[in-house]
Amino acid sequence: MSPNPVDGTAETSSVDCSCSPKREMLHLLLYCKDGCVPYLNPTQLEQYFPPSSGLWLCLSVQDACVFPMFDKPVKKKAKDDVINKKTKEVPAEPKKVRGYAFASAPPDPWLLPYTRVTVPYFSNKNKEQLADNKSICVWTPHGRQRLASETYAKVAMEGLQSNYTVSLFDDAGVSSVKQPDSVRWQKAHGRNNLWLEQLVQVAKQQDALDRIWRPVFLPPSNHDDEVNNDAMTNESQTGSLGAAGVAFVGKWRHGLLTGNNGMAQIPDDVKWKCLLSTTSLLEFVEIAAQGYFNIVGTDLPALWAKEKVALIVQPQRGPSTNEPTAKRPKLDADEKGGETDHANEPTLDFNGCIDMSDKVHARDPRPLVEGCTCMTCQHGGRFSRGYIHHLVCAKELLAEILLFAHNLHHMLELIRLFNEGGSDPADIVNTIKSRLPNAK
Amino acid sequence: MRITRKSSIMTWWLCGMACDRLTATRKWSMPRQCLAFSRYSITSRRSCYRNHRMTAQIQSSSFTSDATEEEDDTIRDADDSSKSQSTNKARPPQKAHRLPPLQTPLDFPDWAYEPRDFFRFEILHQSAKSQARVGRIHTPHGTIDTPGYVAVATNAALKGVDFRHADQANQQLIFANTYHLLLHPGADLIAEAGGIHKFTNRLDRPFITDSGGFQVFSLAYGSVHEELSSKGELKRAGGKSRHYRNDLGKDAVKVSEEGAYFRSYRDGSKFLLTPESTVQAQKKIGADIIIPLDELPPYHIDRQVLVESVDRSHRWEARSLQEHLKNITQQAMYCVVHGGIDRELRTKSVEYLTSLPFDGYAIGGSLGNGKQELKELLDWMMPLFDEDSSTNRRGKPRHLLGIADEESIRNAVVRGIDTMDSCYPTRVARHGTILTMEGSIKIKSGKFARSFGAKLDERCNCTTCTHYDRAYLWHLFKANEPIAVSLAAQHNIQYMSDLMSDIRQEIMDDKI
Repeated sequence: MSPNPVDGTAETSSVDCSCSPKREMLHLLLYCKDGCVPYLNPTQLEQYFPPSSGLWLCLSVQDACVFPMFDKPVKKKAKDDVINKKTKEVPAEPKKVRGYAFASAPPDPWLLPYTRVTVPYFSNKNKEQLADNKSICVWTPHGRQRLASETYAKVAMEGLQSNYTVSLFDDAGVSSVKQPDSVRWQKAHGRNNLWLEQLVQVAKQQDALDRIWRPVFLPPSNHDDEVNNDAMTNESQTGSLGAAGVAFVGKWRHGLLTGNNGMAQIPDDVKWKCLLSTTSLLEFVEIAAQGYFNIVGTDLPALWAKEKVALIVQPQRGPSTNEPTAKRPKLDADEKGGETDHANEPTLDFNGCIDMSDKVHARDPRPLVEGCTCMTCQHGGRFSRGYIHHLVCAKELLAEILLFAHNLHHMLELIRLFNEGGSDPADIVNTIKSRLPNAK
Repeated sequence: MRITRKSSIMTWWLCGMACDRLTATRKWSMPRQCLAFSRYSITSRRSCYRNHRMTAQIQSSSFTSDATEEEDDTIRDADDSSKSQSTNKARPPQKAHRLPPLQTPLDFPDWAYEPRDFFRFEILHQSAKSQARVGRIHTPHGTIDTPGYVAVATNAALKGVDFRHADQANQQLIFANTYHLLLHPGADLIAEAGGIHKFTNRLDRPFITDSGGFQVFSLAYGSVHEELSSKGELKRAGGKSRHYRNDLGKDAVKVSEEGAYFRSYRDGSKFLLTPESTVQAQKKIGADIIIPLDELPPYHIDRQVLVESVDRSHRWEARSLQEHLKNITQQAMYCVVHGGIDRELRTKSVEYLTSLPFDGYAIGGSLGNGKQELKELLDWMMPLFDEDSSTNRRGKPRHLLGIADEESIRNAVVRGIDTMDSCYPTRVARHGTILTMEGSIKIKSGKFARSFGAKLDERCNCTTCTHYDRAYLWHLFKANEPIAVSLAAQHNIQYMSDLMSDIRQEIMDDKI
């Protein structure tokens, strides 16, 4: 991979954009915890987030494919036939649930026309959960269940009919151990490879090998660098086993792509390189700017909506339209507290979001972001910050819906900026970083 | 007090305990009506005690009516006679306070009786089979087809549903609670934003706000269901004490002639809601239809207390109307007819309120214990609105407050109700109850887990039914996904709109 020239700027960028000479289209992989996009109904999705917007959906078998099992019909003695001692079959009451199991969900109407990726789970609560070569324990909405590899293969390939499927993996066994060369790590690693092979076999039978993604584990920060390199080399040398894509599991860190790191040795025929999880806005934009990954997974829009915060930091300076900024009403002296207007401006958090429960928004007639074309700010008229603040304080569900739509729109706008190629990715990252408080 | 031989041992023991307590506390004497003790069940005896205790509290805190002087004498006589039978000390005589006189139609200007140019109700069709009628209410922000269902947006927002989607479901009039909006964000802030229409970004559809009278009731008794099931037992005050206290420091509400003292559930602060202040607040909120302050007495109540409550409501409503007429601001005001299930009081309320220049009539107060009583109440009350009078009762819209289950809707519509509001469809949607043509279904039930491809309602074309099936809704509710509430609420609102549309068509076809 030949390095890209980096424009000299006053601020030194820590983003390494030397990984890929040719940037591929970037996509946002949104966690859909129950098989649906959170908060938004199909009408809103079709209108505001069409499939062409770069949105991919990530579904997990953990919560989308668990169904109750009911009692089988039992034979009971009919009251009238006690003398004759005849029995008849009485159907069991459908209300009595005997347990839960993973099963295939029939295709549509659940499934929307987005590109979908299936994973076994987003995160397992208990890192000490049990796993063996045949199955793994996962936490579902109905308690802890055992997910067998054959069941996962069948459910993921046949049931959800996603475009791509990540093979079953045991990330706890890989990431929780202190040394990657421990017995537990070795077993977990072997288990993951075994499950990948099983899934590949199933995919070959269905002629769907190009739908399989292989999980690759990012070493945690508490591992030695030397050991990490060895681990990553092992991962890459195992190869993709014919899988069409690679899904990186774990937390991203700087330096994982530099030097002779094994990650850089992923075969070039692997078309899709996906980072399953990002946990902050800065991490998201830095990874998007690198150009190594073409799919970046995140749950940040829904997370921010639950926390009642709205993403407002933009890479462009000033509003993108000529719409005049609405004047903020002058606050009373009591509310000002004798301070200047600057004290009444909302505070950005480290993700570039503002807390909508802050009283400073109570009388603010402005939209969340001036010139934003999202469902909340612009389309069909806009909701003011004051109204959203009221909804947040009144604990209305509508607040989360509006905030999620806005946050998702903003993240997709960032993706679009990177894909357009009009601006240097490093500039975009630096601009955002300059607006974030306490950004390094 | 007499206890017959037929009374149970428990009754004997409880009566003994009660006597000891009354003697010890000496707080009040038992009225004569309660002397025939043995005929009462334990539960009704308790409610009797509490009602009389409430009577004592109200009498101590409010003015007594001129018209009830004779009744006061009767009560005093009863007290005296009971005193002779009990060992309680004589209570000091209370000061007699004079209530303000009830305003008459002559107290309102002539121009107030003229039709408004910004608010108009037209009757498109009167059913030949019943009192049902199809009409249209014209407001400054749009029209309302009647009979129509009014969704309740308590905090100026429907639960999980954007107003734009509710409007797409043909939801026209939306109900907002003044009490909750006063607490947050405040009427002044909504006025600053340009009114509730601009605040909620719903510029082309009408709003209706209430006065907060229902909250007076709900804060004291809980929900209507709680009051009926508890047979009038006052809501227990919070904290360690279990007794209802007549101290505003501990209570949530205190009613007087001036108004109602509320304690905010948000921060505990006290404020006073008067007939004038509620109208001023509703002016600031800017809804198209507003409602005057009224008091909602419980179902289980002594008739004397009910009479006083109805009279107080009449005085309040007249005051609210006077305040409203000072500056109409293109808003219409509905009166609220009270009287519980007492025919005389209801008739008196209808006669009085329809003589005043209100723009419409709302049926409020206690509407009976169950659907059958509501039906009977409407049976004899609604014809009063069809009587020929100089005030054009028939040509004004009628709204039923707080009732919108399907059976009651059908009973109300055939008796001439034009609009009705209830939070029932959106409230039950939060808990997984889906309204369908086949009846309501509890989507959380396991039997829907595998109802693949089965729409929530075969006839419905809402976004939920178009894209999802019952199995998926089951799954979303089980997973506690917020979108489940949103999808269910959207469907229920669409269902109610479709139901009312069908009813209107049936009226047009003279089928009902």
